[in-house]
Amino acid sequence: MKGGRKLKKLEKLNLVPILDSVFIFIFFLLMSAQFVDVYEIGSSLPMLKESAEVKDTKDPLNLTLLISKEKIVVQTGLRSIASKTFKSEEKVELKNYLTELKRKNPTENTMILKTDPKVPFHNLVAVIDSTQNSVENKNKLFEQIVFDNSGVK
Amino acid sequence: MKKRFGKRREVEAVDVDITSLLDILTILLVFLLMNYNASDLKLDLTEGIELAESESKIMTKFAPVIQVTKEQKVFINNKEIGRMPASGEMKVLTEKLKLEKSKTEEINKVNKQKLNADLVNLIFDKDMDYQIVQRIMHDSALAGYSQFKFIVKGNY
Repeated sequence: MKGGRKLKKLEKLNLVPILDSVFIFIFFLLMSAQFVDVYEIGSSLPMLKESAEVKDTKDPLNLTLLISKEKIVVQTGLRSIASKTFKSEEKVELKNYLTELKRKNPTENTMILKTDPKVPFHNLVAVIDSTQNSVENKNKLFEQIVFDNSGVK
Repeated sequence: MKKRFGKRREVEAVDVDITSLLDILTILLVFLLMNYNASDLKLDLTEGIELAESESKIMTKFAPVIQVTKEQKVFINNKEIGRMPASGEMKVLTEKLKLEKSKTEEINKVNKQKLNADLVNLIFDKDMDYQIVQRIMHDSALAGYSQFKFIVKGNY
C-alpha cells in the first residue's frame, strides 16, 4: 500500500516562563537560606501564683538533676529523697532511667537543673538532650526545665 | 541619496540545548528546599562562637538575641554592648533589654499578631562556663524576660 503516515511535527515546549519562575524561586531561597541548622532548647523561670492549699497525698516526683563536670545525680521525691548517680558519659543510662521514671509518673513533666558553675555549656545541652525524648524517641520526657541557680559543689 | 537595502538573509534560530542547565537548576532547587528554614528568626552569628550541638528539633522564634563570645563580649541583636564584668550584674545588658522589651510591647499594641515579649534567645559558645549562662539569665530576668531559649546546632 502506498502512502505512509504523516509524521506530526512535535511542537517544542515553551520552557521560558517556568525557567523564569524557577530562577526567581532560587533567588528567594538563596536569600533566605540559613546554612547552619539552628534549633532551640527552652526553659522558663518558675512562676509563682496564689492558690488554695492543696494537700498532696502522694509524694511529688520533684525531679532534680545535680550536674557537675564528672557526674550527674538524679534526685527524686520531696519527703523521702532517692538519688542515683551517673558518670557524665553515661547519657544512655541516664536516658533509660528517666524513661522509666516517666513511665511511672506520666503526668510529671518538670525537671529542676542544679548546675555547677564550672560545667561547660555543651555538657549542659547534652544532659538536657537526654532528658527530652524517651529511648525510642517516641514520647516526650521532662520538657519543662527550671534552672535552680544555687549550684552544686 | 537613496538608501539601498540589501536583501536580508533570514537567520535560522539556533537551538540551545538547555537540558543540562535544567538539571543543575533542579538539583539546586532541591538542595535549597531541603535546607530551607521556616523560622522567623534570622541569625547572624558573631565570629568565633561555636554552637553547642543538640538533638532538639524545635524551631527558633523571633525575639531579642543575646550572644556571648569566648572572650565574654556581649552582643544584643548583633550590636556589641561590652564585656561581662568579673562579678555582679551587667547593668548595660539589663538596660538594653528593658529597651528591647518596651519596643516589643509597643509593636504589640499596634500589631494584631502579638510577639512574645517575655522571650529572649541566648547564644553561648559551647565551651562557656555555666556561671556566665546563669549570670546572663539573671540579668535578663531583671529586665522582665522570663522565657529563655538556648540556640543550638542540629546534630543529626
